[in-house]
Amino acid sequence: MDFALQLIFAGISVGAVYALIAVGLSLTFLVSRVINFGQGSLLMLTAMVMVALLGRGSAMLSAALGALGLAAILMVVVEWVAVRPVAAGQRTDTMGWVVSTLGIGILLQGFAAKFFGSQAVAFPSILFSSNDFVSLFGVRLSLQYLAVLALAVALVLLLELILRRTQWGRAVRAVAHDPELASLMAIPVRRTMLVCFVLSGLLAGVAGLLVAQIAGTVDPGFGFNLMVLGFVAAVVGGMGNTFGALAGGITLGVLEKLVGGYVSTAAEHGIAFAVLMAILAVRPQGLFGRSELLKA
Amino acid sequence: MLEVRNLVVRYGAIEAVRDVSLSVRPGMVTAVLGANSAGKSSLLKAISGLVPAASGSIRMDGEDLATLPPHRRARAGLAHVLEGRRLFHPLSVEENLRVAWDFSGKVRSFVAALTMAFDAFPVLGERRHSPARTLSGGQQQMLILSCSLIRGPRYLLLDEPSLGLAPIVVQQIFGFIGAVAREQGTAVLLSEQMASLALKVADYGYLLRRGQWVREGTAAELAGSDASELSAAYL
Repeated sequence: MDFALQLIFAGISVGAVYALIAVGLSLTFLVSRVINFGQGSLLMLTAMVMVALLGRGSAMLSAALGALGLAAILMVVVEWVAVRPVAAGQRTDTMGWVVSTLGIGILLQGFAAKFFGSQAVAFPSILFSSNDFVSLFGVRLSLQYLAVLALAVALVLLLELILRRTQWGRAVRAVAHDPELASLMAIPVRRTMLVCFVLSGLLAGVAGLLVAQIAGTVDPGFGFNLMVLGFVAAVVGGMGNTFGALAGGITLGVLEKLVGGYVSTAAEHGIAFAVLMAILAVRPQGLFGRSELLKA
Repeated sequence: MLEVRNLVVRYGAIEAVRDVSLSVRPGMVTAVLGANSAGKSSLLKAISGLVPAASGSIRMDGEDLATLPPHRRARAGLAHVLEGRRLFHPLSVEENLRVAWDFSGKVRSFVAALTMAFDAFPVLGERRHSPARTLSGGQQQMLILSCSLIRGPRYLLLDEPSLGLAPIVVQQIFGFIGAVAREQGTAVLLSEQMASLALKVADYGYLLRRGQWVREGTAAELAGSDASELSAAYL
């Protein structure tokens, strides 16, 4: 029983990070109708760059901020190079963006392998050490997992609050629904999109740092699986639905850990695809999604 | 004054608007009449910047709009009500009005602007927290008009506001548009298939056929003109 509870807790914790990745993906999807498959490489780069900066003697905080800043800038580049040219004129139905966003992701991964080597490097403990525990109802909870959970959930909720309550958030929702109409309401559509990409880059970066923190090591290939898991969480919860992403991510995380604990760790990531296929077959708009959100 | 000179709008090889000139004056309702595919929507979209003008000029109070993107034209005082009752459907009535107000000059407070909108159309006040998609067609058109007017535009373009609405609602909306022009001095450009309807509220009208100017005149002149000529424009 103790074992099961610990697995569930670990699942909730990593699931919250998947939700963070999911909201980052859906934020840019909402305004551009493009799923940014390059996001995984940004996750990885943020963590790798942070390790590299620390290796050059930067302080913990400045290394983290520097890596996150780079992620934000790179996301603007991704928008500029891989999204805008194919999304121009609302021609997202051509699927060219799949190739372009995936392509820039692979390119960034190649750069990372070239500059940092393709070996896994150790990621330092930023939040507590991996040996710090607290006991809650007789279950030993890792402080690291707790901190990751708290941060991820707080960021997801903060984003939701911004989207609901601020002028900028309303503009994002307006652009997401009808960019043409938004521009007639004097909303700077392009700038709104750009801000979404920057924010998505920051969210991806934080997610990358959090996962690296739990995993303890990073290598150039580490982002892709995570991005896929975030994507599955977004699809399960309904694209563009923040609470859906949270529920989807946590469900996925818990399932994954349970399968890993009781069946085999090799089957861990496979479960995500099983969930994805089941959801697409039974409820393609997602558990909490509205089908009308994806208007043609 | 809004002045369109020798405007041409092209989609690929197709010329939707061919060499059209017109002016829209403050305090007046100017109608653009013509059948489906006469180029009315393209004309309006070129003015608000949603489609590029292939040639010709569009001037608002003497300023050439050619280089301004749509949101800058909107900020300069232009409002455009699109065909087909487009709204931010998942957002509530109040949120729709808020988004429209957010990026306006904010000359009055949101509360004051909201009060004005709800005074004009009380039903919107009753439904203020409902998602826009749940409103009836007439209520949606009222909300769209309110969203456009909450920004206090000097120029208001209306594309087929009567489409798909009950006659009694159309009367109410056209009455409201006429009052806005007279009382607030807004220059209104109204595109309409139903010529008889538009000429009741309009002061001046232009008749288009297949993207080209056919004739123009005061509402009385157009309404009193040879019926055969008016109907010819529709064939």
